[in-house]
Amino acid sequence: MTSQKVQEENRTIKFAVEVPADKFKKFLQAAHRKLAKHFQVPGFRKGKVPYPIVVNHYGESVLYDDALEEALPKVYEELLAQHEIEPYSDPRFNIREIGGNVGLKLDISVALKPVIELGEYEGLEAYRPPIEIEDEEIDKEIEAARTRVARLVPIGDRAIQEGDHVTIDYKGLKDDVPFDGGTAEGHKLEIGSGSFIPGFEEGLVGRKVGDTLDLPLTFPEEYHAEDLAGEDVVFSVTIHEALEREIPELNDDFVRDVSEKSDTVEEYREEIREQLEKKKADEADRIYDDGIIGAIVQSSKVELSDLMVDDEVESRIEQQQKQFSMYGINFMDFLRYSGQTIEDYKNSQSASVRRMLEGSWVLNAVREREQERIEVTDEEFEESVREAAESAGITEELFEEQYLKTDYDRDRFRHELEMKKLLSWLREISVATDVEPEPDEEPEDAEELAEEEEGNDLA
Amino acid sequence: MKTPQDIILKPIITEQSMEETMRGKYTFVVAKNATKTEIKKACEDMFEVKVLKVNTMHFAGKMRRMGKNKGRTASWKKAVITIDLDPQPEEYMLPGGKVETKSKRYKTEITEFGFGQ
Repeated sequence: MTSQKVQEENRTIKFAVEVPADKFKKFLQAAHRKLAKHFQVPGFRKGKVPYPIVVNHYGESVLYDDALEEALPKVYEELLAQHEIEPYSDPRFNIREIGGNVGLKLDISVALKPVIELGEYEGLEAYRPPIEIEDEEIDKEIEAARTRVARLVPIGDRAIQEGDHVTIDYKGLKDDVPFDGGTAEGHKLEIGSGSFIPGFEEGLVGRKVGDTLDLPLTFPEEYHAEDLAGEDVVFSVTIHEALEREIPELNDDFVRDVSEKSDTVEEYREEIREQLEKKKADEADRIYDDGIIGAIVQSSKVELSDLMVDDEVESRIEQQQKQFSMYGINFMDFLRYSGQTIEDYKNSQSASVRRMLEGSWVLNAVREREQERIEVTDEEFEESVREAAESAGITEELFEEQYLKTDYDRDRFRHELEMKKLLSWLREISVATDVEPEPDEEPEDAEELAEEEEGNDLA
Repeated sequence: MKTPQDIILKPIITEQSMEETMRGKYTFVVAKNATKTEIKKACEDMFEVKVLKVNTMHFAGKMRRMGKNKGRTASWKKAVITIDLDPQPEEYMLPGGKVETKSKRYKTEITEFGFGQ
């Protein structure tokens, strides 16, 4: 095998590699041995067709896939050893020529370790959103808490109104004959939910528990069952039970019910305010961190191979596919429906992925340089383990058992701590501004689309 | 005149015949009226090999019938030729006791076998 470096730019290196014909032929023959039982030629038993006959009968190209599968990893390994390269991405193979007589000629590209020239990272300016809590936000939270703990209680003697939950038997008759799907017993229905055809739920309003009534209705013209669309039918309905949502009053009793800390409404408002503040502060810190990292990247020189970005995009797509398949959606189909091709999607992602990768490499560089400052002492380590165990609601021993069993796990935990320390140090030395930066122009984010889609499906 | 192509019609390629090529035996369908000598000559001309032996055999056509019509498929002749896998230069004794060596280059395999059926 001979290989030659043909190009190196932007931390991507490209080799022209040639595998001589006799050597490549060995791979072809190995592929033939592997596939032998699939070949069938008159005059030969299955699996007994010799290599030259297969080549003559089927053509050499039937063996290429398997030969390459064997050959490429070996070629790649040899290449790395020859040039003493440490790859930072998956290799890209581009086959130029292939054949039992010409051998294998191909280009191999691979990413090298990114080069980072750190710029200034102390005293940079970054946007940190101000934390302001409006009274309305607190009201909204409390309102949500009240609906959450609402109970369903019988309406008693009053007439049914919108929002009630009723249990009914119904029987639909078309020309005095019951039709499919028109009959049920003990069905639960929320009035005003619109889950039945127009007129049905409205027809129950004003009635009382125990009533039996006939509802003459017309199916809508656009109904999914064709034999019913636009038809006149009569439903006879019996109402068994009606419940209403009882939203608790906002008083000290309610507060004691939902909150462990607070006893009075005033205290509860304060508690909610604190919660919101914490949430917003976390969010603000996140934006602030992003801003700081972005600023460091700006001031530094980062050379990062496109191949690494592509790899990351690919792995994200894979993740997306997994997520989508949990909802039974094929990601490719989804892209097609939203009018994108997979290429569009990749392009839309690559910019943000590049930013992310650059950020993490730069951060890493800063970490290396500030190693002493962010050194995690054993006491701090212990302290963090205690905290983590507490927030996970388990004992320290159990936490160690579960998450810190191996050296690798411990190292990773330590690494996370260092990162946290580094970020909080960066926050201290950076200057927070309240000037909101211009939002980047980004193509429509498919991730958001995905979330919408999921929402719809679950509804 | 018969050309070699008129005599050697096509190779017979089966597991058995492929196996035998390793021992220098090549199997062909040949013209029904070809003799062993003709076959030997045709092979030597066409494939540039030294033929040691020709074995021939006749095959009667198989019975076939379509309803009440009976018939036979064509009968044919098979030849298994054995080639020299280690051809030596040939020596001639010329008048006067002089020895001349004629070294014609023979191939040791029929590379075309299996191709162009």
